[in-house]
Amino acid sequence: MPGAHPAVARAEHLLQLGRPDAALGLLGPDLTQQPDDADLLTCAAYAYLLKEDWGQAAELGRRASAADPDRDRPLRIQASALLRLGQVTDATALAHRAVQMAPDVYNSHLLYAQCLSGIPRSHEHAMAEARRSVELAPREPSAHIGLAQVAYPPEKIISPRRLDVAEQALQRALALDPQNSVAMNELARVRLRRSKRFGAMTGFSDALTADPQNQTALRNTGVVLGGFLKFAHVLILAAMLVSLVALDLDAGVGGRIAQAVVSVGVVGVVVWFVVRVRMAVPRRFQVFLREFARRDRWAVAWAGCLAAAVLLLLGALLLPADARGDADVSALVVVAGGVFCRRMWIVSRRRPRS
Amino acid sequence: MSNPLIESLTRAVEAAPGDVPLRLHLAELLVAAGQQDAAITQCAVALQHEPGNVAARALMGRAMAGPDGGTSVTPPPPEGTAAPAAAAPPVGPQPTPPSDPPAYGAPAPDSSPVSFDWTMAESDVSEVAPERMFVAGGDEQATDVPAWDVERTSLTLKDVGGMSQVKDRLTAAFIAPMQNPELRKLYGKSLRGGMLLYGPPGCGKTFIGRAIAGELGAHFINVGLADVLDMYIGASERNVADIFRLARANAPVVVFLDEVDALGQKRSLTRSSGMRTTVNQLLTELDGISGQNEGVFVVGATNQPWDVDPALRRPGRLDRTLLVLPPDQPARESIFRHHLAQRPVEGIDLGWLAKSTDGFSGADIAHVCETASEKALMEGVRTGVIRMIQMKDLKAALAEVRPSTGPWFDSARNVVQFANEDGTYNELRDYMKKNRKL
Repeated sequence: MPGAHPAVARAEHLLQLGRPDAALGLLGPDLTQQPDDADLLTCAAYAYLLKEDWGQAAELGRRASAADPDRDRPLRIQASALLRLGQVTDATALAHRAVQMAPDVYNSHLLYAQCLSGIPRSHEHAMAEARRSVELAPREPSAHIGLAQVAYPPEKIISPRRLDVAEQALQRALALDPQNSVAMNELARVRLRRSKRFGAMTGFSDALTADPQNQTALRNTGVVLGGFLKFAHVLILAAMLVSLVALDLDAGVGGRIAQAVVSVGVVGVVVWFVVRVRMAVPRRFQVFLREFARRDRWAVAWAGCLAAAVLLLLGALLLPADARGDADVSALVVVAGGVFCRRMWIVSRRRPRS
Repeated sequence: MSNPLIESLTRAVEAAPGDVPLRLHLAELLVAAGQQDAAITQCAVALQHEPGNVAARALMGRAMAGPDGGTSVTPPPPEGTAAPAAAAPPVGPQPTPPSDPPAYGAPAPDSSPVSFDWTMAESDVSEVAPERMFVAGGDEQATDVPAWDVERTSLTLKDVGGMSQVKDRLTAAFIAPMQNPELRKLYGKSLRGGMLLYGPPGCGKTFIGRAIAGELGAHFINVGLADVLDMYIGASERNVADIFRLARANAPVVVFLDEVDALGQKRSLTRSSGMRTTVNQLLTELDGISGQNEGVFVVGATNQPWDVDPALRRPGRLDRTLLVLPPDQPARESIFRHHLAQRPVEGIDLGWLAKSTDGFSGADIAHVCETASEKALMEGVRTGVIRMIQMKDLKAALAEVRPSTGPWFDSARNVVQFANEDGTYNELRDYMKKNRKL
């Protein structure tokens, strides 16, 4: 119990204020004198958890549990840290023990659910635990967000029914805390999964307004823009192939007309895309583009190649036949394709994250 | 000191502290009289006045070498061993293989720091640089004051080196109205409200807070997070109330709320109801509902203004904001001067240092000076020859110390880009654009 130790009580206060370093500084001298004090160890473990030092958090959580095996909080801290370290089985076992010890604490159920969602064929069990956590703390936004994250875990392809569950949970979380940046990001992620790309972009942008330090949301805007580039890439590549085939079949007026239709269509679609994105994130479009380019130089090269390909299409349309030549088109397609494929491979590994 | 000539010269030097030739003459006499410590002090002061004075340096070297004219500090024998008599060990560094322990009774001087006699070295230099070289003023009493103490500070804005923009804005927005009661009355301006100072850590927000108090001739109460936080429910709010009660009793007073982002955290960020009530209490006190706030100037300081409850920044509360950026060139020069003032230095090009430390905070500059001192000291330990801090030490320190403001600007960048719809951080945005941080 935090109140039992003055240093622990002050440190807990500091942790609530998001100052784990200051809390650890406060706990240090007492921990030196009482290295097996469960209160001190638990508080320090939590501080390390906030500092995202999972190894230390797990170790101190373990020592706190050993010092006082009847407490659930050190178990939760240790399980959280182990989950982050990828030790899902150990984390699940600890979370299960925490649930048994404190069946009325929503945190325990939520953590157990998160652990279970990482284990194959445990989804229903995980959902049941997440729902139990919401039942225990219906006014707690984090419980609803937790349920959404269990319903729609990152890196997974899921059914639309689960997307509905996630969306409803997130809307409840936002009703409780309208400025919750995490919930906004998650909701945008759900929209993106439903292929509502422009809405997702708006959602990520809103999440950034609520918390400008939300790096996940910022990264996710990059994922959306990457998706747009991928779409544009496929479109341009298809247009080039159609154009080449049309010219091959008919080098005369018919081929030129087909080429013109394809080229104008591609340019129109690209312009429409840009306009829609600008509308989705008014005043932020350039900032997102800049951030996207800053974070990944490949994206700049990719976008540059796409722009060159569009220009080439238009050039092939406008220039006289003897001034263009087929080789430049093919060469650019090959070069651009190489860069694009590389880029696409990278992007395909980047799913929107929680 | 029995030599009448030395005595009279000492008096003359005291009367004319800037007379370097006279001081050096006195130092000569002191060396001749075997008073090396006093001579070192005089040489050091002479070097403070004229860092490049060759005669002073030579004389200091002679004084440091001792009466036998040697060139190094001789390590004394270890405690419990007999002092070497006839066969005294050679002075100066003499590398000894680690596997070869010194013979009993005749310890060989070791170049390792372990064998350095810190006591003797300290006694040799104990009186060096007894006073500041560059800065005449300062606020000696204003530091290390216990929590909640009502201070009187002699600092004013004149003591804030450089930062003319900050000073101008402070004067226009805060100090001038306070210092001109007639004009204030004419325009119906209340002596209420406060100011929020924000900027990267280590850039002098607290210093400016004290300077504001000094400028206004007001008391100063420095309130940190630790002064308010309390383990018992309700005690933090009571602490806040007590601080303001004390402030009202000592008006005019500047209440400096350090880390105001923690004390007055956005209510959406506070995870405990305990902290929410503390924020509410702070709002109540700022509004003066529980008491009269006339003459209570609240200055908040934060590294993260974006985490401060917007309610705290409403009119009548911390309604004026001031960005305190890393020091500009004149300020950096002034900070270098301040931190080197009490150290034995020679040939220091403050202009070059100030020019080379763009983006450094005041704390970074202090760190550079500390690192340079460490380098000079450790070289003295290694070689056995004590020397002054030189430009090469500062240059080496500069190569090691990086500006600590980078992470802050990374955070600020996100805020400026994504949470500046109302233009609150336009000043910061302009600075970051100008300095290519955006």
